[in-house]
Amino acid sequence: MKVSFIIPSYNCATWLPQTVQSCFDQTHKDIEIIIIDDGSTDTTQMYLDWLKKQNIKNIRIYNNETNLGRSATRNKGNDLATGDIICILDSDDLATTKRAEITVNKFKELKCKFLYGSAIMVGATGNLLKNMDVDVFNLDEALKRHSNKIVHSTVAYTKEIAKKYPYRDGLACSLGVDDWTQQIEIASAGITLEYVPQVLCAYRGLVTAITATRDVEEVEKYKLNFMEGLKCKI
Amino acid sequence: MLSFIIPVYKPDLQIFRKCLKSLKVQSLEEWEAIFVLDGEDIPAEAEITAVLPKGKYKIITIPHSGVQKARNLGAKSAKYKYWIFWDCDCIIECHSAKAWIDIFEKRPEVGFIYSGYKFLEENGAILSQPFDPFTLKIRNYITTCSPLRKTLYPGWDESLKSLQDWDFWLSVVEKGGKGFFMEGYSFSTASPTEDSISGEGCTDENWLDRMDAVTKKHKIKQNDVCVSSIEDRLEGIRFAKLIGADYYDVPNDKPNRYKTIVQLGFSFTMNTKTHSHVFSKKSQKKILFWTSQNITEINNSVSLKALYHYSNSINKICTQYCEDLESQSVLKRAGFKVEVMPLPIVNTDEIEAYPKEPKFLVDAVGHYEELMGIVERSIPDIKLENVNGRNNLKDYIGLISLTSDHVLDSTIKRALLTGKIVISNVKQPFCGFIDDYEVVDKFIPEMVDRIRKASLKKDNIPAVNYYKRVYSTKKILEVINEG
Repeated sequence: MKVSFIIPSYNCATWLPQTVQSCFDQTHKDIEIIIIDDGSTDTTQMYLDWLKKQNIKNIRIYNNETNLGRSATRNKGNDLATGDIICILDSDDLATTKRAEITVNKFKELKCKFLYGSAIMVGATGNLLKNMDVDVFNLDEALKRHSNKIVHSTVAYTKEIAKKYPYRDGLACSLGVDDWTQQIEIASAGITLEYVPQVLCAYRGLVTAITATRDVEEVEKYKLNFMEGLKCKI
Repeated sequence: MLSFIIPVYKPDLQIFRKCLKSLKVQSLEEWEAIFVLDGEDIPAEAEITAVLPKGKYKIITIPHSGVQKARNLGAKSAKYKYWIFWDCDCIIECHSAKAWIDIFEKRPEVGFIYSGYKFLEENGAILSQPFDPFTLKIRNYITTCSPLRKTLYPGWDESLKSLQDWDFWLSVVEKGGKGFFMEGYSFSTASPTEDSISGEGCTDENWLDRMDAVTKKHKIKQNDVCVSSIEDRLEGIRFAKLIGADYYDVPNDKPNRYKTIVQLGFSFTMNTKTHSHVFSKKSQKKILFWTSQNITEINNSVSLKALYHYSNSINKICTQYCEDLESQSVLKRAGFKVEVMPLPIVNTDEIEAYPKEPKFLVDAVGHYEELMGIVERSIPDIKLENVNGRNNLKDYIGLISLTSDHVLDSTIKRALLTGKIVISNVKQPFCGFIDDYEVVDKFIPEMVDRIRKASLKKDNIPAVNYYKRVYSTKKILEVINEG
């Protein structure tokens, strides 16, 4: 089974090389790495130019002409993927070396369409900060809590899921809840979000991260609206 | 390939036998030994014929006429293109000669090769130092038992009473011979006596006369100023050249005519005795430049009692200088009377275009070293190499210096003067100050960004021009010459 790692990048010149390296280090070798740079203004391009010159077979690098935003970039990556399974990897997180191997085995074993796993949080030097609070997915609770306890960089799904449930753009993107809405949509359609209690990624806990600065009230408002819309559909 | 020319005069037969055996078993195959018996010596001759295979040696017997004459005579019979004047108490390392020949054959520019050597009876050893015609004019550091191309052979001066080896190597260099310093030891020998070091009858009283005989012959200028820098010899040699002085580690180990001694650095943790010895001569003017390493030591590892002791004695005898106000305040707190005067430095390397492959030299200590390890993982497109003493700045775009003393040290100075980009924790012009952030989340990205942007630069001419003005030699020469 071929695994596609999708790495959208935006102004992450410091961490992206380490993230890409974590893909090279995978024990499962049938992988492709797709990097889509969303118009970074830092030194990312210098790294990507170097990476292109290395002529590594299973790496594909794309540049958005203009800044498309996170959701659109993720969707573009999913469209470009040629693997059987898509593994999400944000540009500052690190995949554990067995992530692809575990993911492939679980897909075969459970015949599932979507899975996620445990994660740890690390600091800038790779130092362990804490174990992330990840648990079995429960739709009702996720809706009640307006949060789902899924670390996005552990998520893997089939190409079919990617096509059917693209990330929402617009407000969902700017508020950083595009992954949450996607997961609720998938779960609402009766598809199981399988939980693998194994650490699949090291989540970068940086003080400068986007989730730390977003407007909580706005997010709550958006989520309520989104749920209203979802009920109508059902 | 190699002719050993060996004068023999009343040898210790036991050691002589070891010498012969070591020649016999060495890994080089094509060699010969020419023994010049300086006065008939039947027991020695018997040793030779007993140990060495026939055809490997020649024996010439002459009436006793001194080692130089014996060497010159022996040279006439040497058949190979590489020669070495051997001593009959020297035991060669098995692979030395093979290594020499390999170097000669591969590197036509090398005229002669030398190394250090060990003593038989004790653990002592004589280390040598890298070849530099400048330092050879001050004192000899090349042992007689060093191989050379026969085309460079100048003859041994039979009129000199002492220091013939010094004269010999000076003459070889004057003929265009370039020395090659091979690290390590090439032979063992008996511990030296006074006579065997400097020649027969060489005492402190006639030392200067015997030095003069050689310096006059080679037209070597007498200098009034001598620089010593035990912590960093290369730095000291560069500085001595810059101000037109001599360089020697321990100038007062022998009688001399120096009026001023300039010492770079005074380490409290190593060589304190040697450091103090430099200042042993009362009549000399003494100038001490405190180095950044010394400041680190004072900050971290010297007891107050020791500081009290040293400041008292050093204040009495030395004029002291340091690099900047930050160092001055540390030294003053430690009790030293010190003025600020940056140590002049000249860039002996040419300003060359940056290498095509982006590469930076890293001098980082403590937690910075760990952080730079993380930074390195974030820039696979750019190479970082740690300082190891053998790096050549011209191979790099720039220097990243993160040391604990925050002082503009000689590595940074040299980098700036050769037009390199500097990123450091030193708050001085063109030093690319980067803060000691407590939040590494910021330090790492900032460092990555700085390095990548620096890798696009083509030169750093404004820094060169600025520091050329700062590090002029005018002030230091005034200080030395005053009074």
